[in-house]
Amino acid sequence: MIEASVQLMEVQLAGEGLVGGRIPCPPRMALKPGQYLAASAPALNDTLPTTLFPSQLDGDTIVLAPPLPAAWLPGTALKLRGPLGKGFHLPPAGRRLALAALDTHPYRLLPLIAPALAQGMEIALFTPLIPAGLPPQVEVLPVQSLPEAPAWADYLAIDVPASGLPGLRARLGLKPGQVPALHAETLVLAPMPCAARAECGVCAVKTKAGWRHACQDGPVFDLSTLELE
Amino acid sequence: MNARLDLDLESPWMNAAGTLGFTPPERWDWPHPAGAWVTDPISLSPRSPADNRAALSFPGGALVHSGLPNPGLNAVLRRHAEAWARSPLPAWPHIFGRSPEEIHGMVLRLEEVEGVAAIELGIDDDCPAEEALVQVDAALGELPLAVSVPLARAGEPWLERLSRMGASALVLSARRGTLPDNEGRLVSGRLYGPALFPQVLVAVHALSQSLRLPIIAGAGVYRPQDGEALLKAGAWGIQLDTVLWL
Repeated sequence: MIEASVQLMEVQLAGEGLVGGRIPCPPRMALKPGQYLAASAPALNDTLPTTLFPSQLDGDTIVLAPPLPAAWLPGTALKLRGPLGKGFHLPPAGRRLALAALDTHPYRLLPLIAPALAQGMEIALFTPLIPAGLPPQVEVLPVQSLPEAPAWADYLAIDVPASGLPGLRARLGLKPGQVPALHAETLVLAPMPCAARAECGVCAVKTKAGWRHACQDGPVFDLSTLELE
Repeated sequence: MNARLDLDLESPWMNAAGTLGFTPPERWDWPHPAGAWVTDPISLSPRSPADNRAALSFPGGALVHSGLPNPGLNAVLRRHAEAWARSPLPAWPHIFGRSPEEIHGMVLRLEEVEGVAAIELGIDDDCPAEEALVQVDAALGELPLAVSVPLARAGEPWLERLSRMGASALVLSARRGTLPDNEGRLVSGRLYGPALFPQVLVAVHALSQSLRLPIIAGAGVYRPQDGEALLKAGAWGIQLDTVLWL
């Protein structure tokens, strides 16, 4: 974990009224898909840090998934802390990747696309909205088709708000108690105000081993470890 | 003021309960050194998070509601007591309880733990004054006792009795408030942010004139000069809250 100061290079309209952005990647900041940064703008008198997820990682810059605070403009000085949390684990021998954005946009899943394509994976994105600039190799499907994913893919990456966990098994076409037959990981989206500083409990996620904190034990969890009922 | 001698701080700055977890901080991002560190709130039994937990911003601050989840005193000590003993910073476990018996038992247990320099007892917003005094009495033991009350209760007459009872300090902590969440449901929780600074300053100024007890200002400090103003106004210590998360 490192701390760095950067300036917001640009804000980007990501469609559907969502606003993302771009920052320079600080030296030694090895952010992985699904990990996050805690950011604050000292000049704006923030009270809580803002959680920033990447939507694209190209080495020199980090494209930030929406939303960003409305007060952040190009040139806004930001204090960053990260990388924080546990990210996705793309299987090195995986052949077919399914990405699913449930009740949210797909931007936090997009950093998985480049490494998946680099290892020759086929990719299906189940999403309620189509992000701009998607590589043509990515097949876009409606979220309603998600029950097809477990039979096709060998790795499934999901992004879902914590409030969506109770219905997740049914949306995957699984019966109560049934575990998908593929490796599935879930980014559980929850407010993470302390960003792993305090175990404050706001981001608590119920797992089969008890309560865990999305900010430090996640936000990406192995689906089989989550208490979904 | 004998009570002041009970507590020994090399620096008046520390964190507020709930802001740095259960282990001593590895780093302290503030221009002034820390004189102690306060644990997250600890109950006797494990406590689950609230169903409607939230973090909501408003102009001048934020509301945080978690339900004070914690693994219970035994688990906290099993996991963290060694770190408390090793830490160069004195530990102030923040405890809260449902009954005086529960609180007394927790205090007796903590008196045996190396590195614990004081107990901080949390009194919630809804606790009637007489019940609060019973809880304070139950928490008085060998260790100095800091009684933490929400800023909104700073003017209540029962606080005058704390010094005579033997409490060592009064902590003015974050007050509660209510905000609508993204779906319009009302959520109540602790308020943090610079908007609370004028409230804590006026309370410290008034209580330092009337209360024979060291006062620790535990809300609204987001800049060093705010804390320095509180010290000048009569505060004995300063607790920092979500500014330590930035």
